[in-house]
Amino acid sequence: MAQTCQSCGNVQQPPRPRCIACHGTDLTWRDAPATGTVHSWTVVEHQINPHFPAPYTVLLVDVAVPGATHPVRYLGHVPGRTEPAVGDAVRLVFEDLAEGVTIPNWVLDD
Amino acid sequence: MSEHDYAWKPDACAIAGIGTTAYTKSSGASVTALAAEAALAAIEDAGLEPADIDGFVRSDYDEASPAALADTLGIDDIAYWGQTGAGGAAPCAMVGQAAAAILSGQARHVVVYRALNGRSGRRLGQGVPAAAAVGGGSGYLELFSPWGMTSPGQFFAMLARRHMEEFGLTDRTLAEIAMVCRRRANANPAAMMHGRTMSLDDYLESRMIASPLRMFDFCLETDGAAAVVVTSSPRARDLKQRPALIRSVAQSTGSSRLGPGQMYPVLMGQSLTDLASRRAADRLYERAGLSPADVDVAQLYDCFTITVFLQLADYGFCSQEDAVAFVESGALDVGGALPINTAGGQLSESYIHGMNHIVEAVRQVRGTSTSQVPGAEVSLVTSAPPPGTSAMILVAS
Repeated sequence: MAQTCQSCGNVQQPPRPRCIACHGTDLTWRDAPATGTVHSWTVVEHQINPHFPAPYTVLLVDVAVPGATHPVRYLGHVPGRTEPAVGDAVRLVFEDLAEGVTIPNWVLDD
Repeated sequence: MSEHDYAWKPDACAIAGIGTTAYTKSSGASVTALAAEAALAAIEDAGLEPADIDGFVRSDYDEASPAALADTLGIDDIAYWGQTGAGGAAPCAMVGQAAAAILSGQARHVVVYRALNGRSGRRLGQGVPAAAAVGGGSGYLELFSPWGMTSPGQFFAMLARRHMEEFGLTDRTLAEIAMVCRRRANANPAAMMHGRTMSLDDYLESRMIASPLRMFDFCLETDGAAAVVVTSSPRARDLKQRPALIRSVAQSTGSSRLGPGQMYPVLMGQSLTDLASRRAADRLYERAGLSPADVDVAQLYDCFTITVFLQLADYGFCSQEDAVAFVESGALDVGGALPINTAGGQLSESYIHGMNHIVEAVRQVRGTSTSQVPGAEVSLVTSAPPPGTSAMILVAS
């Protein structure tokens, strides 16, 4: 989903308390496409947080949301080492982390 | 640039004293004790007494408060204190804030300091405890942490990958930056890496932390402190040292299209290769009446090698397209077109969150660096690029 201003149509990510284009507060959510492309990525080899065992790959994903002036970005998490190319296709999945906690995630399209 | 009711005043204030502690991995001292040691050294260097100090400015990350520092130094009453940030974006802005206090008549001699037990105490980049339902903070951690984007190194790795994609950055280019800083540290007896050389093989064999960044792309972790005394230029001329005149200071958050808050939201901005440092540079040169070609030596903020790389074009020393060739031409070492980080920088001298860069920028215009650039008169120093940043130009008097 992407935060969208009902007054002027501006799409903004991250979400903010007000529309950064018209300062309006009539903000809502619009569905984002479930496909995107890799904008950048890193393989994390040095573990910092025990919840994220290394190695793992973090994807930074571009999604073309209708009405947005530039691609809306989301993060993706892939266990292990992958070496995508910038521009590779990704798709949206939903992952259950815990009871009642589900997050959107992006994985490389096979 | 907007019109101002009052113009920036070049050379109206100066850095009159500099001081540091030793740089170690385990100081055995409190952060306030470290701040006091560096402050006393800077006060003595200026030829002042602690009782002359009537203002303090610190980084928002500092654990030593102005009140505690004044108390430790036996100063009865402080007329002005302030802080800015975030973190490494602070040092040049801290000096700017001190100058503003002096020019507005709120203080006469201001100590600007940064003290930390960055290795034995609170280590940066280890993440912070956060509630599961966190949201809306300036870091927007809720949009990054759940996917494992949890440290500055991982953030800068994303930027480095884009520079590889867009401008042909390679690990050889990053290695050159790491090796230049190491050679300058090898010439500086106070540097933590003074006795340790770094070859290209050493760099390439250092372990990968967050690809494409290796251990030697990362700055050090340091226990220590650095401080300077800021005063008016007329006053500075009456003191012990040759003043380092504050030609200009600038801050910038960059465009709102960079993303809000601290660091991670930059990843959601329009471009990962167009940061606030570009606008800070424009503002800085305009206030200074100088251009990049006038800069004799630069202390470029180097939390990572990539941080140095991306600032080279932002501060106008080359285009983004030519940045790789610029670095690989040997421009960054003493004798090159733009000698940088002449004390070793945060990559190889110490990580005092950019405050050590200010001390070294002063040494260069005094002519007292261990890697002195002959005849250096214009000394650039920068404090962190994303997304808020600050920078300063010092000139010799």
